[in-house]
Formats: sequence, C-alpha cells, structure tokens
Amino acid sequence: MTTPQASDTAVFDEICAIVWRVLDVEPGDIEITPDDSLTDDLGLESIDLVTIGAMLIEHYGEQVNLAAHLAEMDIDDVIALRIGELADFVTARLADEQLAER
Amino acid sequence: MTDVTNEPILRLHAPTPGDLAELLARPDADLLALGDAAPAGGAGGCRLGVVAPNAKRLALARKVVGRGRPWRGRNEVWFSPAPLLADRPGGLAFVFPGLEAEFAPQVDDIAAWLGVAPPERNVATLGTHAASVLGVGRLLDAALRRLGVHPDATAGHSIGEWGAMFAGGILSGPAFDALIGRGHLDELRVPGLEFAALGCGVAPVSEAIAGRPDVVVSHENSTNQTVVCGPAAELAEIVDAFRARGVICQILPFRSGFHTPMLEPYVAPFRDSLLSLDLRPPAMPVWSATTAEPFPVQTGDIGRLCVRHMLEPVRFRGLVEQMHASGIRVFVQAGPGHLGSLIDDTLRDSDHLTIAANSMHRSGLAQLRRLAVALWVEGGQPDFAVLDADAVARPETAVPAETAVPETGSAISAALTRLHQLGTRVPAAADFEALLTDVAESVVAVLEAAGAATGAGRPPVAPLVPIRATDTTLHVSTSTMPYLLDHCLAAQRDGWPDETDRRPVVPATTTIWQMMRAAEQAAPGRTAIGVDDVVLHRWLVAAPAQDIAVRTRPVDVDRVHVTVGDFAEATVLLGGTPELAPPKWRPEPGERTPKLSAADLYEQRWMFHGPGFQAVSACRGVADRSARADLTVPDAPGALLDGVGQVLGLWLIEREERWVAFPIRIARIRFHTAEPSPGTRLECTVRIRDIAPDAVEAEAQLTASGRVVVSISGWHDRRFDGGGRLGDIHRFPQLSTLSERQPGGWWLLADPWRGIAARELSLHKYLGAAERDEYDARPVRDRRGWLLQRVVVKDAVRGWMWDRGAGPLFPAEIVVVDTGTSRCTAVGQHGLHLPDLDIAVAHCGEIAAATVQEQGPTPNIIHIEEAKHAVTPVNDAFTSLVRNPEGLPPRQYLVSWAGGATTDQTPQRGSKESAP
Repeated sequence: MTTPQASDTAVFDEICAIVWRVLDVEPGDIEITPDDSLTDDLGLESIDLVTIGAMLIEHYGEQVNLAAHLAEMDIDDVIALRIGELADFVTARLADEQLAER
Repeated sequence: MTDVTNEPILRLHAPTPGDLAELLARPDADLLALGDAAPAGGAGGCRLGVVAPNAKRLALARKVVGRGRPWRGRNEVWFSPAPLLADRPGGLAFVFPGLEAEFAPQVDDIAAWLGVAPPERNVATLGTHAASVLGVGRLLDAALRRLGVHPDATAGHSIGEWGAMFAGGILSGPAFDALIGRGHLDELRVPGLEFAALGCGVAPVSEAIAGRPDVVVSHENSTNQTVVCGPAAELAEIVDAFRARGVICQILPFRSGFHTPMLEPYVAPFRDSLLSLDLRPPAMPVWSATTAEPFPVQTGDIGRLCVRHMLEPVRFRGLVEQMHASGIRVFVQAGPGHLGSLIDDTLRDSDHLTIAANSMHRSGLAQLRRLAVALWVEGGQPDFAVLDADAVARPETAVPAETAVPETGSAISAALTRLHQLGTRVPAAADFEALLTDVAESVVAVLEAAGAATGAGRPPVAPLVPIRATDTTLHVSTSTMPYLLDHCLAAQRDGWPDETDRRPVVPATTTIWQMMRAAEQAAPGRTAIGVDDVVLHRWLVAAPAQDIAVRTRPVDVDRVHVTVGDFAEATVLLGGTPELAPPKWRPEPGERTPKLSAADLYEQRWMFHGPGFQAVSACRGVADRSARADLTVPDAPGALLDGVGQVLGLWLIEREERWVAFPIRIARIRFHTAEPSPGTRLECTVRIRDIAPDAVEAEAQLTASGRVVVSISGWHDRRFDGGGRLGDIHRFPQLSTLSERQPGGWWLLADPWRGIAARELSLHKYLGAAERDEYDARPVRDRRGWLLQRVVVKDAVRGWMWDRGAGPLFPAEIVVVDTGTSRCTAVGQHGLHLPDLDIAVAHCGEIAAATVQEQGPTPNIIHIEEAKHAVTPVNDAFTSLVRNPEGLPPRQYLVSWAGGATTDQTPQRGSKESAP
C-alpha cells in the first residue's frame, strides 16, 4: 500500500482513467485538471456519478463509498464537484483505511 | 455562459474516414479559412462538424476521425463515420422532459428569433413549474421545426408526455393551453409522499421495497436510475440502505405522488378536464411511457391511456429501448435538463445520438446551432441558413423577399470563389479547392444518377417573415361578394326585391378561405398550408351588408390565430414546406352507385347551392361509411372545400332522413400542394368517423392523379331533420307546406323543430323582413307559438290559393296581418294579390291550427284546448282530437272549428283522431 501523500498523483491518474472510461473516450482525448468540475467542465451527468461511484468501489473497495460521501453534501456542491475534490475524497478514505488497519 | 452568436462552424464530409482524415491533414489555417462554407452533398459518407474550430478542437477532430469511431459533441466536435439518419428515414424523435430539480431554460433569444413572446418560467408551485416546462417545450418544438427539424415520432418523460402529445398531433394548441391553464395541476398531490431517485436498476429496488406496501416504483428511468415514491420516513430508510451499499441516491424536491396508484383519489378534477379536451388521432407515432408503445389511434383509447399515465409508473427505460428497436436513432431533447442522460444510460451500448435543443450552459440560439451541427453530422438536413438569418426574424422588421437568405447552392459557390481566390496565395487552398470540386462533382453525378424525379437538392430557403398582429375590416355584402347570391339559405321568387329575404350567407369554407388570406397578409410572402381548429360560431349573413373585424394574432413562428368578428375563428399554419401527403384511401368495400347524379343534387334542390358553389361534377359511390364524388373546383372562393361538405351531404341524403347538415367545426385541414385552381377536377372521398342524430364527424381526402392534394380531419357537421315536410320545405318552399290540411279543410301544424337552430332555418323561409323584425321583438318564450301561427296561416292561405289554381307561392309573398284575437287576414307583397280573406288561427302548446275563407257573413272560428282527460266523442260540432306526433310531449288536443272551411270540403262530424 502506498502512503497517502504519494497516492495523490496516482489517485488523480486513476480517477482520470475512470472519467475517460465513463465519457467513452480514449485516455487523453479530453484533458482533465484537478480544477475541472465534473458537470460543467467535463460534461458528466448526475447519472454518470452513479457509474463513477460503482467504478470507485470496484477499483478501491467498499470503503470508498461515494454515495455516502455525496449524501453529506448539499445538491449544489454535488453539482459543482471537482476532480481534485473527488481525488481528495478517495485519498482520505484510503488513508482512513490504512489507519484502521494499523 | 457562452453567448457568442453565429459562431463559425466547420463542416466536412467525405466518402470514408480515410478521405476525411486526408482533408483534415491540411494545416489549421487552411481549414479555418473555410469558414462557414456549407458543404454540398447528399446524406451518405462520413461527416464531421466542429463548432468554433480552433487548434485544439481540430487536433481532437483529427484524432477521432483517425480512430474512425463516432464522437458526439464532447469539446464541440461531432463525427459520425456512418451517419445515423443517412439510410434511415423515420429515425428522429422529439423527447420532452418532465419536471427536474433544476429548470434554467435559455429561451429569450429563441422567442425573439421566432417573433413570439417568451414563455413563462415560474417554478413557484408544482403547477406553474409544469406549465413552464410545457411552455418551453412548445417553444422549442416550434424552433426545431423552423430549423427544418421535424420529428418522426415523439415521446416524453412524465408530464413531458403531454408535450409529446401536442407535438405529435393528439392535442391541438388550444387543447394544450387548456390542459396547462385550467389550474388543476397543483391539485395532483398526495400529502406526505416523497420521491427518491436510486442509482440502480429496477430489480434491486423491487426487492428492497417488497415488504413495504406503501412504497412503489414510480419511474423506471434508465439502466441505472429508478425512482420510488412513498412516505418520507420509509424513503429515508430505503435511501440509507442503498447508500450503505454504495448506491448514489437523492430525495427529489417534488412531492406529488404522480405515477402511483396513491394519486387516484386526487386525480378527478384534472382527469375530467383532460378528458373533456378534443383529442385527435396521432399524426405520427407518439410513444407512451406507460406502455412503452405508441399511443393508440382511437381517441377513446387515448383518453384512457392518459388516465393510466397519471396512476402507473413511467417506464422510460423500456420506452427508450422500444423506440430504439423501432428504428429511432436520434433523440432530440425538447427542453433543458438531463433527460438525454437517461437515454444515454439506457442505450450505452447501442448506436444513437441524444442532443438537447436547450442548455443552461449557453444561449438558446448557440445551443440550436450545436443541435444543427449534430444533426447534420448524422445525415439530417437542418436549415443553417435560417439559423444564421436570425436578424431577419426580428418581429418588428418585415423583410422584403430580395434579402432572402441565399440558397445553399449560391453559398457553396461563394465559398468556392473565396477558396479559389485564397488558392492564388496559399497553395494548400488550391489543393483543397480541387478536392472539394472533385467531391462536389462526384456527389452531383450520384444525385443525377438517382434521378431528378426525386427533386434532388433542396428547395429554396424561404425567408422567415414574422407574422404580424393585424386588424382589418372585411366588408361582407353581395356587391363585394356577388358569388354569395349562389349561397342563399332561403329561396324566393325570381326578381324578389328584398335581398335580405334570400338570406345570403358566407359559406363556412369561404370564411376559412378568408382566414387563410388574412393569415397570409399578416406575413407577406408566406403561404397558408393548413388550418387547425376551425370553429364556426354562427352564420355570417351578407344582407344587409356588414363590416366585420378580422384579427390576426401570431401564436408561434408558423401559426396565427384568426378571428372573423364573433362568427368564426381558426389557427392558420403558414409555410414552410407543406406536410407530406398521406397515402390515398382505397374505396370502401361494398360501395354502390349513388341514386342521385350530380345534376340531381342541384336540380332537385338537395343542395341549395347556385352555380358558383356547385362543386360536385359526378357522384361516384356511397358505402356504409364513405362517399366518393368528382369535384370540379368552382370559381367562388372557398367553393372547393364547400364541395367536400356537399359530398358529406350526398352520403347523408343517400342514407339518412336527417340529411340537412351544416359545418360547425373542422379540426384540421392540410394542403399538400398549392390550392387547386378553379376548373381543376379532383376526386373527393369522405369517410364517416362518427354519426349521431344531431351531428356527424367526417374526414376527407381530395386527390388528383392518385395523389392526395388536401386532407381534412375532424369535420363536424350539425344535422337537421330533412325528412318529410321539413325536407320538402327546405328544397321547394314554393310548392310545399309544413302544415297539413285536415279532413274538414282546416290546417294543422305541430312543432316540427327540434331546437332553435332548426326553427330558425324554417323561419327564414317563411318570414319576410318586416315579419322577422316582429318575431325578434317578441319575448323569447312567445316566439315558438307566434311562429307556429304564422306558418300555419301562410300554409292555409297558400292551400286556399292553390285550390283556386294559383301557381308556386313562396311563404314570404304572404304577409299576415292580425285583426283581433285569434283572427287575422293576409295580404300579398312584392306583386302577389290576395282576395280579402277571413282567417281564424289558434295555438295551444305545441300545435297551431288555421282556417281560411273569403270575407263573408259567417266569421271563421277555430279553437284548440288541451284534452287532459279521456275525451268523450262530441256530436254536432266540428271537432277533432289531435295527438302530438312522436318526439313531442305525449299530449292531445281538442280542435274545434266552424265557418268557411266547411263550405269548401265536407267536414267529418263528431270526434275524430288525427295525427299530423
């Protein structure tokens, strides 16, 4: 298991890969930056979040529960969610898991 | 928000992705220099569109073209290696969204472009929100059609289905407005119920709610979204459970219980107003999300499905799958929001395009521009010229025809000329020009080979002339409309001086013709290609002359509501392209030759029409539910469609006693070609859709050389009794009587009219102008009795004259003058001379009676009383017991008389029963 600090870049890359798959494009066809909002900048729809949530679980395991995370946010924040925030969330959950394992 | 008007668009097509890649291999500068040149060509090959091309987008375009896989809109690039609509007529659907949490349509610029008022946007209540969503959908429907984008099918999500019913022809504009406007939408709410959207398919949801009878699935939205409805507390538990499993869930901000059986107790007011609307058979497949099938065709079945729609789940996923299976490939979202994402989710692995006609992210016209590009790339033919010509459409500026947008052909040549000039400086541009010329030439060769008969190439682009509100005056008189002398409801003696007694009226179909002309004048240069929702409130009489206010009010970009005083109204559809003609109907099996010939119809006065309106030139056939005839278009305006009414009349005459009929309402008329000119011979087929004692509904086709020229549906006639004496008096008033001579020589009339309209038809045949004034001056409750007496006296007088050898006598030639209680005399007018007559007249209940003699020593007497009890035969008196005929209250009357009648005929002594 990598350290939380080191995972930032790796997680970001993994999330980009997931988003490209959901967008049905080849990696790199669409440039993704941490500042991009999922909906406004990348054109993802809320239904796509369902797919992303499922892929996160598939990739990282059930502790990365996007559904539970989104439930704590209000609807405007969900719509404005950025790639960087998504990566931070994943990184944080992975770190929680590491702590729990110690 | 991006708000760039007229952003440049790069559109390219080529036989294969390889050829397209070759085109794109040119330097960016060359590609950008192409500007908006509209590429020539048919629908085939592969196509690329880029909005506001720049280096980054061109790089992406090269990448996706090189890969050869479709790319649909991300980063403003559209590419389709095998355009979805190219070999697939009928593949485009309009899909109307329902309520969504976010509602931010960008439509003000579209409304201005169309020259109509922007729709209301008000999300204060469920009802206003729904009305706003539907209003925006309707505007976008008009905008899409203006762009030349016509649906092959329609569908909607939840209340969006009503938008689909409008766009697909089930609901007329006024019916749609009534549906939205009656304010029952807010009542469709079950207290305490919420909705929750769950990010998974229906199977795990059904499993989870199996033990919860108060929770139901209300929407099967897509592969990964299901909505449940139920009490808030239970939904919270369900949502928590699904979230724990990683399923994204959301409680929706609407509370209504719509699409669940729980709504049943609340649905009555809305259901009643829905079912009171004039529903029509769909003009195209209108898909129901209740059944995931197209709506039925019978309006009764449509109504029942509308009710189910409110109480059963929305099966949107199944709907989308079935539409795709039926051949729909392009889903145009006729509204803002996210409905397209549900379609994409369901059709994730199937080739299709969803494109929104509106987006919160950019101006309305900018999104329509993207839609046009997306559709063009899939082989559609949106009208880019109209989109660029937005300045033309400002409502305040009518545009002369010479500023019309150039045809595509000249746009191409202009671009090629520019390219050619560029080629002298930029060598690559010259290569490119050569390539384009090659492509154009090969396309031309293919199209020419396909044959000019298909009308290859596009019709000229009509300038969008906005419809103005106009207020004009129509002078209605027989001097300005002399043809109305061939359309008089009351025949009079030749040379009759008072024109008002003839009752010349403007035929309903001439009024329709006037409304079409008024609509065309409100948008000079545009042609009326259809008329909807014609309502004929009352007769428009031309004598005495009248000045009638004719108003036009634009409804949307192509429709104008026209009113002719308070006599008639309709919505006229201005072109555009005429609607495609439906196939010609086959003659109904079992057709027989009509008993009447065309000449019989007019000579035997079954039709009262003079030469200017005698449209039927041959009666071809009648069957159980149809009639066919040849029409030759007469000169009088509107006479062609009047001929359709006459063919309907032929069917009634050949079959029914109640054959006198006049149009009161016509739902839909479409001219599929230019209006046929006078002298043209056409075949007319009328089919009966519904018949009742007082009404008949028909549809009709006018065809020439086997092609449908005009189609009409929802033609409603009001029917009147044409049997017996009413029919005779209608056809030959100068030879017939409504009253009947009784044994004993007196005359009896029992009220023959079922309703005031029927009474007034006779009134104009019996009364001259002065007598009509007298009738109008009487209290309403006295009018029937007064008219019964006038009619029976006139019939008795004419009978007396005929006994003495008089020729034809029109009732209006006789003026009745009261000379005392139950006594009167009669004088002739406009040339008729009558002897000095002593007339007794009486009236009681539904009957009137009269006797006539020359003035003499013994006065004429007649008396009627109701016989309420069993009547003992009375001897030594001239007495008759008269029973009301069928259709009137079951009363009997005792009529007694003495005087002159006895001198002419031998009276029967004693009591006698007589039924008129």
